[in-house]
Amino acid sequence: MSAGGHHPAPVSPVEQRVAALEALLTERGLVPAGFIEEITSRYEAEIGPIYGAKVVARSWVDPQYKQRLLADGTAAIAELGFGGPEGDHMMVVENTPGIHNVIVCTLCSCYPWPVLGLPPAWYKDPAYRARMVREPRTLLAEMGSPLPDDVEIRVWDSSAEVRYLVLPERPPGTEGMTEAELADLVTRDSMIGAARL
Amino acid sequence: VVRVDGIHSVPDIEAHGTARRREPTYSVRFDAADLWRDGQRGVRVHVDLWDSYLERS
Repeated sequence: MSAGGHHPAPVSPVEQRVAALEALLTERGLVPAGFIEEITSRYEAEIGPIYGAKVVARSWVDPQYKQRLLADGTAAIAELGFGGPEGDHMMVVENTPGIHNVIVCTLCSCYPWPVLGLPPAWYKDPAYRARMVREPRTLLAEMGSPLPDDVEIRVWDSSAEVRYLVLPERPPGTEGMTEAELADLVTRDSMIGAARL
Repeated sequence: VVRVDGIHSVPDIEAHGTARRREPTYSVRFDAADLWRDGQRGVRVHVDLWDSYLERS
C-alpha cells in the first residue's frame, strides 16, 4: 500500500467496531451526540499538557509549592484547580542532575489525564511499554534523550492506582523568565520523562 | 517497598463480577539487574502492586 495512492486507507476492523459501538451508544441514548468528540477535544486542547506545564512552572518559581507538590502531588495540583479522573492519586517525581525519572504503564495506558491530557499513541504502543522497563537507556537515546551512564534512571510503572508526573529540571539560562514564560518551555514529553528540557 | 499507597479494590476480582476485595498497594523497587539477565546499569524499575501479588521473601 503506497502512501501516495489515490485510494484512502481501508478502515481497519477495530475502527469499524469502534464506530459501530459509538453509533449504538448514541442510538440507545447512553451518550449524548457529540459527547465523545467534546471530551476528546477538551483533553487534547484545553487540559493537556498545559495544566501540567503550569504545575511545573509554579514549582520552579515557588520552592514552598515544590515541597508541597513532592509531598502530596494530588493536593498541590488541586491548589491550581486541577484534578479529576485518572488524577486522584498523583505522585510527582523530581529529576535532578543525577536522577532521571520516566513513566510507563506496562499493563495498558494509565496516564495522568488531568495534567497531561490524552496519552500520545506511542505511550500506548507495546514496544514503548516493554522497552521502557527492559532497556530504558537505549530507548531514551533513540527518542532523542541520551543520558550519561552515571545518571540513574528511575522507571515508574503506573500499574495500580497512582498516576505519575515527572518534574523536569529547570533549564539553565531561564532565571529572568516569568512563570508564564517558563510554562511555555515545558513539553508533554518532558513530563512523561521521555525527553529532557 | 518504597511507598505505601492506601487501600484499593483488587482489579482481578472486580473484573469478574460484583465481588470486591480491598487491599493495600505498594510501589516496589527492583534493580534492573535483578529483573533481567541483561538489565541495564543504573536502572531501577518501580512497579505498583496489590498486597496479594507479593510473597514474603
